[in-house]
Amino acid sequence: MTTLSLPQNDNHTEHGSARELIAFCIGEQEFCVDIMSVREIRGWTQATPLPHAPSYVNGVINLRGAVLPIVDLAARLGFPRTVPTARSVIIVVRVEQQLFGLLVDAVSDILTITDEILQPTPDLASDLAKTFVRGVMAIEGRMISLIATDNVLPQFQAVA
Amino acid sequence: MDAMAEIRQTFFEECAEQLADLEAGLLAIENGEADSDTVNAVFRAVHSIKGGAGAFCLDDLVHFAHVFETTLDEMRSGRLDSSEKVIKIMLRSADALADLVTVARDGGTADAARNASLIDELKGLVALAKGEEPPAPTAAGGGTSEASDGPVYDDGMGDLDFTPVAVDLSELMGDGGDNTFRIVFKPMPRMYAKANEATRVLRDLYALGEAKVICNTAEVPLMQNLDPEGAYLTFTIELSTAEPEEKVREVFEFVEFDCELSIEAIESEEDDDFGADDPDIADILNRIKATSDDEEESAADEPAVAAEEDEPEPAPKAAAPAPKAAAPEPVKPEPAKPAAASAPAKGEAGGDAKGATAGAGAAQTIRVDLERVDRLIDLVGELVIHQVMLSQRAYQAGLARASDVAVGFDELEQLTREIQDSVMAIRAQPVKSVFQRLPRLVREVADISGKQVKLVTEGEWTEVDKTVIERLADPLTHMIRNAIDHGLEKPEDRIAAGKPEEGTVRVAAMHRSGRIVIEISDDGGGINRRRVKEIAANKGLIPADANLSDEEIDNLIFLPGFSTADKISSLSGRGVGMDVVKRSIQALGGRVSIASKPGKGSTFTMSLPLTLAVLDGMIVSVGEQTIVVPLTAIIETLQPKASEVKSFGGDARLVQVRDTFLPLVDVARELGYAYEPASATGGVAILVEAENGARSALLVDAIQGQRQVVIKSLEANYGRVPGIAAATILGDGRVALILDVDAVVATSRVEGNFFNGSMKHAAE
Repeated sequence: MTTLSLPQNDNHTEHGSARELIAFCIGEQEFCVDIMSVREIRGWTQATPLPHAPSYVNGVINLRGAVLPIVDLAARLGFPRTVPTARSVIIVVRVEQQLFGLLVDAVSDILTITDEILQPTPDLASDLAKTFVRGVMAIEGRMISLIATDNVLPQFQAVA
Repeated sequence: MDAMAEIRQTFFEECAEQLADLEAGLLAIENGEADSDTVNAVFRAVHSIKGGAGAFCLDDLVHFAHVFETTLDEMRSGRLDSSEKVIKIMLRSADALADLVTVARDGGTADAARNASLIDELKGLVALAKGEEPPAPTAAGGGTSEASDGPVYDDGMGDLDFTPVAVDLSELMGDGGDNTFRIVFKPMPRMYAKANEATRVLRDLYALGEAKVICNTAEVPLMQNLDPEGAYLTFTIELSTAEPEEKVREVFEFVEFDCELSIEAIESEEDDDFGADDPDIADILNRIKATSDDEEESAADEPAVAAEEDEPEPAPKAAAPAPKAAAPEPVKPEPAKPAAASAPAKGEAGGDAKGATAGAGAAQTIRVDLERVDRLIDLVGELVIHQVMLSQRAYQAGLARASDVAVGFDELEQLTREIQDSVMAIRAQPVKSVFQRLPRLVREVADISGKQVKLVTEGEWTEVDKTVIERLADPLTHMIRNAIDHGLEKPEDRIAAGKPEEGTVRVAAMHRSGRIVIEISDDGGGINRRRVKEIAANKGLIPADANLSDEEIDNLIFLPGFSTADKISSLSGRGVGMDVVKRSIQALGGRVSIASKPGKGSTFTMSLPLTLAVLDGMIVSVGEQTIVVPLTAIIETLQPKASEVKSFGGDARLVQVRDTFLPLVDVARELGYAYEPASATGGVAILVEAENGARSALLVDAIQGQRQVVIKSLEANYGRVPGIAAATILGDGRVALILDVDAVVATSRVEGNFFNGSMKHAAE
């Protein structure tokens, strides 16, 4: 799997509410994150497990000399843990000064949306999922949940 | 304001350099290694600080620097002997100056009383110098006598010879305040020689009120008779100001001994027709209006004009100072900028003497953000890994060892290694930056403890990583304090023991087998072993009847809670003992040892890694993982036999090593890699010593090898992990964790509570 670098300094934020998202799959479900927080997308490499880490932290990998923690997003959302395969993907996300990777099954799409189509998270979802899901949207009959990446990190920092 | 803050920062950076030069120069003079250049360098350092401080209105600093500079000038001109007493005062003044700079930078208050007394002492030295050889009485005489000092006087002052005429055109016609003074101000050549400028004095007067300046050029000779270093101008100033006379006199504070000055109060102002009594002045004023040359240019031009002595007319001469006089005006909000601007010009005009000193000291450097260097180091580390992987894969794919491509791989490998070494060297700095703080420390400690101490430093150019240098200062400071306070005897005891009255503390740095070794030795009484043992026994650190070797007794001083000082002095014994020193050195991955000979002195030896970016580690397998154990913690490794492993209540196990039992820490379980206790006999026990000196055995599966690893922070992107100190990247590109030995040992004890309790029982 090759590494795909994404442009950083596009002026998406200036177009009012229009923004671009990267959509990806976990099992049968689709999620997305804001493209502005994504630094790169790379293939899965075996992570070194961290002692006493929460179950959703796969461990750390070497990202060009930096030590990058990997979060199994499925486990983080309360789904069964992902079993990483050669086809799994790591989305490298930056929140403030911290870089970390999200382990997902596959990247599916790049979406351009406006905030209007974003609906509040339905009450059905578990509390855990609601913590990380900022909203859902319906696109071409698919339901895609927007993940708030900045919520993934503080929790797992507190645990660490 | 950003620009200003930047300038300010540069100023303080330069101050640090100047202060270092100052101290180094004074020490060189003290050791009799000085020549005229050294004295000049010292003078220049203080002068530059004064000049810069003026730009930021740091009045205390300016004032002190000025008095200091005046004294140094006496020394520079040979009127003041550089006797030991004088140098001592100067060194203390240098310390005070450094403090003032620190206060100016960081806020806080300086020790005003000490500074005031130092100022008095400095002034006393000047008076002494003047008393021995009073300065020449006339202006011309002063000029020639100083000029005859030749190389000393040549030092960079050549461009200040002409009298600057400060004329504030905008305020010429202004009307006055309450008091009117008539001031006659006739600078002498030596005033300029001390880098004072009439311009600045006049400008200060303008700041007080309305001033009218009349410049009398009657004494200016024809060009061929002109002494370029003479002073020919007399200023008559009429000043109307609301300020009292003292304020006016204050303006002349720095120059009053170097000029003829009379200040008298007059009733009312007359003569509105300024300059009318001298047509030349009117001419100069016109030229001022016409000229807008920038100052450097004119400053650089001046010596050239002076050099062409064949010019007969006085006119060019009159024109020369004029642009300079115009220059101060546009920069009024930053009064000292002209001084700063003329400093480089001075350097250029300074001639060989200055060039030589500057050339010797300063290699060209750039300041680089440390983060950028670290990023580069990361990337080069990756480059090495990828280069190795690439060639391995090529060989696996059947590349012939003798092929051109293989040769290319070899060259690439050499190149990448070389790049890695070079990049690591960027972070290396000589330990000089720490060592140069030591003389002051020694002086202060010697003063307080009433001992005479000579500091000898060696190997100050030994290079070590910047992070090590930063963290070296504290333990080193503490050990030197200890050496003086505890190590050296009082002068009378030294004489009684047949030693020189002055004790010697030697600090030496050297590279030894890939580490930096720093030795701190004193020629004092050595460790009083009987006393040390007594104290340790009294404090319950050892049993009273313990039978210890000399070496073991010496090492008692590193125990927590040990302090030999009978009384707590202000120097050492502040509750911070050698145990703290030892711990901070260990935290750096270093070791400290002691060697002592009764009556001859003690030597402390610190051995530190050259960099904190890499660590010597033992690569071990734990569970299915590879982890790194820092080599500094490891004492030995062994393969325990079944008979040597004893169960000790619950899960706890002990391993017998010779005649002692050590707790066996199952690393895989501590790190959560395994749930079942590992079989002790199949693995390897690594004997480690924790911070508090307690020994344990770490049980791991196998030892893979030993190597230097680059330390990577886990905290930057994740957070602290219990039991893990940091991470590293191994040759295969995988991340490996570096074990925090102390933490793992500590948590294993907390978990095994029963075990812990029974241990206590056993001990009792």
